[in-house]
Amino acid sequence: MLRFEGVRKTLGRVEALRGLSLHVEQGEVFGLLGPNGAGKSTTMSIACGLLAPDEGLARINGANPRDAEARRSIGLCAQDLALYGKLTARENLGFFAKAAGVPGRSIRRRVDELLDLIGLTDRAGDRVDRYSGGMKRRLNFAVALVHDPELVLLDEPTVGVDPHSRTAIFELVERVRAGGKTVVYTTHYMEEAQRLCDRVGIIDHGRLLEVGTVPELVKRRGGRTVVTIERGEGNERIETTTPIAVLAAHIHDADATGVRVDVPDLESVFLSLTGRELRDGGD
Amino acid sequence: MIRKGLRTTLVIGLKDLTLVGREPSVLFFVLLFPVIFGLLFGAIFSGAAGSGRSTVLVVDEAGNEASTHFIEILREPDGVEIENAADRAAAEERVRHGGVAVALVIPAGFGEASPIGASDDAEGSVRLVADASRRAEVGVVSGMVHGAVFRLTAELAQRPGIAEQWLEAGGASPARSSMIAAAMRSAIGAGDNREVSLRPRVTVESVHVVRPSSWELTFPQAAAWALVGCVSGFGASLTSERASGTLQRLRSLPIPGWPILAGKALACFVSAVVVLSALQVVASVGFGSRVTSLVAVGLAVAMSAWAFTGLMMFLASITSSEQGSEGAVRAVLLVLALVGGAGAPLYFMPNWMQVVSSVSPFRWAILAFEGVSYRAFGFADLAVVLGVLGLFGALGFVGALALSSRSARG
Ligand SMILES: Nc1ncnc2c1ncn2[C@@H]1O[C@H](COP(=O)(O)OP(=O)(O)OP(=O)(O)O)[C@@H](O)[C@H]1O
Ligand SMILES: [Mg+2]
Repeated sequence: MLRFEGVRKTLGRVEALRGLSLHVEQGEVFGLLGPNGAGKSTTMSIACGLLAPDEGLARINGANPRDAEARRSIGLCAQDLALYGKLTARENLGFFAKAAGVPGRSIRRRVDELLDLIGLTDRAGDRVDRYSGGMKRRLNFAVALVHDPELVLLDEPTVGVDPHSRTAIFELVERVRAGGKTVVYTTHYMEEAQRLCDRVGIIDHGRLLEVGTVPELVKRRGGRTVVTIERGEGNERIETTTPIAVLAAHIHDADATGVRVDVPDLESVFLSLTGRELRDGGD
Repeated sequence: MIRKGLRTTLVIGLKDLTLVGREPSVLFFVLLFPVIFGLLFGAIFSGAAGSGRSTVLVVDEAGNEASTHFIEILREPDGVEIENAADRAAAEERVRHGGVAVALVIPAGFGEASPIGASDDAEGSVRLVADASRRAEVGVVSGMVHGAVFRLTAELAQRPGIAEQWLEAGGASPARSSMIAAAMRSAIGAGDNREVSLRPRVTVESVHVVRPSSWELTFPQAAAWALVGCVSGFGASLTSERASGTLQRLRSLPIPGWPILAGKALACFVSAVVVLSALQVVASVGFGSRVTSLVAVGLAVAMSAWAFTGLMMFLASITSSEQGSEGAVRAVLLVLALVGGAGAPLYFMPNWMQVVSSVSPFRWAILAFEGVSYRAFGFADLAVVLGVLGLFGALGFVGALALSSRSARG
């Protein structure tokens, strides 16, 4: 579906991508997990033809996304809201549908469907600049779907969103997947990647460091589970692959005041790959 | 593919027009401000005159001692600025296009004797070709020319032998000539010049048969301000689309790149046409501004809209390649408008400014609207102005394309 081979891209003085290779399969939700400045948005821009690689190649179903026809199968939901504030939700959807070449007779139905999907039917006639941040995010998502693309590129669709809208966006992703679409989802929240993605690629400094399902990644790179036995005079830290057995062995330990079990997750995967925390500094 | 592209162009253009309709500040600058401007300045400049020294375009066809001296007199302190023109046609052209208020033609034979009793339009008379829309300035200059002619005549007549020469040329015998000349000299010396019938005469000829009303003078300027509104409004909207990411979103759609910019240009062009036409209707119906023909007005409207759409595209692509230069673009636009005579009329400005103003498309748009109104341009005159406007538009588009293809590769 989407294929990158050794893509390099320099933006200004920054080498944003340094030989990135990537294969996204038909029908999967592929997560691109990486910290700020890792090159996620640059990857998306190249995938939808906004930027051309300096080296290497990017292909959508074998075609170059710089060709207009190849972009028929891509829908981009960019990180920044790309909506007309002075137009209503209905007008925004209608305009982008028309501009994308959706045939006139099916536009109305498509717009109604999408408004229903994002739960904004009631507010469809209001100008977008009067919407809340979460409503704008949902609409921003829906606009990426107007021409019913096979591949949906979602660049941090939950940035600056309240918990309610975030859940709504997760549901949207699930519905898109259920409709047989392929999704590329970038984020720097490992919970999102863990919850939504079939496979996750860890990206840092413009390179893809590791790819796999979440359990695979954790198994390969997450290290061992850490069981911490808490005692009055100091804690005992035990790394193990069999945490249940460790717990069983301590079940009659009279000195123990408590116990903590740290199961490896994507955070530990990132730490072991880069030596840094995923959220360096905050989001 | 082309048909699809055109359809997309239309879709995008319509969206932009909708956006303009919902932006009160843009509406104000595009529509209301120019009308207010037209009304305000129309009321202020009711037959205003220029300040400072006037410029006179001189065609010296005589090229003799008398004509040289005549020009020297005109040029004296408190006189006029003199500029030379190649021939009568060139001089008339300059006056017709508003470059100068007055041209002075000194014909061959100037200062030579003319027969006693010859009529006013006799050969050797100085002719003034004047822009009737600048009445006051023309009045001042023609007064100065009359004065200079009188002084020249008096000086020539004082010279020994000159009056005799004139009289002999007029057919008098040498004895008779010297007698009359002596009488003439004493008459001039006594300040009585009624006897001097030999001076070269001055006739004032006006190029324009119609005189503009103050509304006719200011509405072309109002049109220029309407164009300022269109260019800055649409330029800003293109910049804001770039900043907000909607332009990127459009570029990620399965459509080629050109309809996106073409749609924006189309919306700008349509707005400009609508606004300019509306202004013309207000000027004609409300204030009796004349038009030569509807076709000519239509052409002036269309070509001005085209020129400024090109300028908008060019300025907007400069803004895109250099961040935060939007203010600079506005400033450039304002300077171009003022240099082009959208503020104070061109004839208020010093000469070098009038030359510099040719680089401003505003000057040509104003001239086009004056041309189809009181200046009553013929086909050839109008074609030149429209051609220049067409060139400005084409240059703008070419420049915009060059800049955007450069930034697309980045
Ligand atoms: N237009 C640009 N000019 C110069 N450098 C750029 C430009 N766009 C991005 N960069 C740089 O390229 C690198 C990758 O940026 P990118 O936007 O792809 O990161 P990201 O993973 O999307 O980060 P974030 O999580 O903050 O969105 C960063 O170092 C960024 O500063
Ligand atoms: Mg990003």
